[in-house]
Amino acid sequence: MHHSTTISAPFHLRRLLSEVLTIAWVLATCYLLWASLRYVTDSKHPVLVVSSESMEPAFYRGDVIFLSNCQQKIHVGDIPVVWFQNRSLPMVHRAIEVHYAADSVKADSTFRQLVLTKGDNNDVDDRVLYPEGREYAYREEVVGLVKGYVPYAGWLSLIVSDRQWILYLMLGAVALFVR
Amino acid sequence: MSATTKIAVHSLADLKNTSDDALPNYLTSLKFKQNHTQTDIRLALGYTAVAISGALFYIDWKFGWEVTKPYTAPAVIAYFILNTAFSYWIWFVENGVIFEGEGKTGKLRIQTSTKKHMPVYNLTAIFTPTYASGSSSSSKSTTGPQQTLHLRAPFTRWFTADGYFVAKPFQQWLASEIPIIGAADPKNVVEDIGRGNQTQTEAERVLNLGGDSNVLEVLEQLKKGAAAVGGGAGTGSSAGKGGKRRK
Repeated sequence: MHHSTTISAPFHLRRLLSEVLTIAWVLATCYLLWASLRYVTDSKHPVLVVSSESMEPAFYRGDVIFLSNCQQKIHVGDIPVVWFQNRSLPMVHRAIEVHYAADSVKADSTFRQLVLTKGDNNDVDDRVLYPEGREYAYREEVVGLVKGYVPYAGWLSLIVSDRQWILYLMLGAVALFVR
Repeated sequence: MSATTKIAVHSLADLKNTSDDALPNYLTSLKFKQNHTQTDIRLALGYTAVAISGALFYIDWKFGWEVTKPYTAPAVIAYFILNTAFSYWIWFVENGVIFEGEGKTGKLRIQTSTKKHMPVYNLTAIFTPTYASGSSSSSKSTTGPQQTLHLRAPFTRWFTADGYFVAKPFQQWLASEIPIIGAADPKNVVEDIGRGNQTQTEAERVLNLGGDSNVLEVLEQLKKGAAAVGGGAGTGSSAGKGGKRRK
């Protein structure tokens, strides 16, 4: 728009906008892919990392699991991920009992689903881990059912979540090498 | 701009980008007005797509996933459409165009490309020359037909071995090869890129003369003298022709 007539290097607005666009476009695409995944799986957390040994030998620490929340009815044998309110971490265990509460009809005329879970590698069921007075988990507290997994892929994320400084160290190293 | 920054001579991307940056600068200095419409459309498409994604991200961040859910599908579809248009625009419409504009000598569109591992600058110039016709008082001009030129030159022509860009041979190459640039910058139209900036006559080239020598004048005198002698000996007309042709 403004043509500089000086000999020194002029400020190229369009150049700057183009370069910023390439970065912004990458970020935008990444976020939208993530949003699409959440939408397709109907789950706020479509990808998680297993952090306990309670589901061995099915899942080990460091495995990445893929969830889908589309299946409304939970069956015994499914692996629901239960995330109670005010808890910082969810539980990935197997459903061993599923009941329908006859005394509580939801707005869409279905009965409330009650689920009891237990880790494959645990000796007792999860009742002790449920909030005070609760015997079952509700379907609404399940963020998804495990549909697939990739072994070992989440190890780095486990290491970093324990020691946050490693993440900053890695980012610093990347910044050094890129320019 | 020239020879101020050193680039990596082995990086084809650096070579191309430096040349691509220098070209519009050179052309705008020749008073070619650059047409930014293509760039502007690309930026508009790109930033609209980014804005959609940004808006979705903002809603997610502020209000949480449940609120964002219904907006996600339309946002993704809109983004996908814009993205397709964006990619189409870059790949097919722009297709390597680094300059599009118009000057006194005509309209010009320049596309550049490089092939992997080949240090050669491929340039396609599509231009429509404008011929100023008539006397200087009238501003009538005619436009010639559109022409396309495919040029190639190794980057070694305007980059030194240690990676400095030298503007002169680059400008000479452009002015010499593309007529409407040459018409706007006649000083840079040369036979041999990188040598002098004067056009030489055939005699000067053969005798390998610089600009200051008076050898040509001496040669002309000798020719005139020989023709006079030859004309005196023989008959007029044949001697006149023969004088020029001898040797």
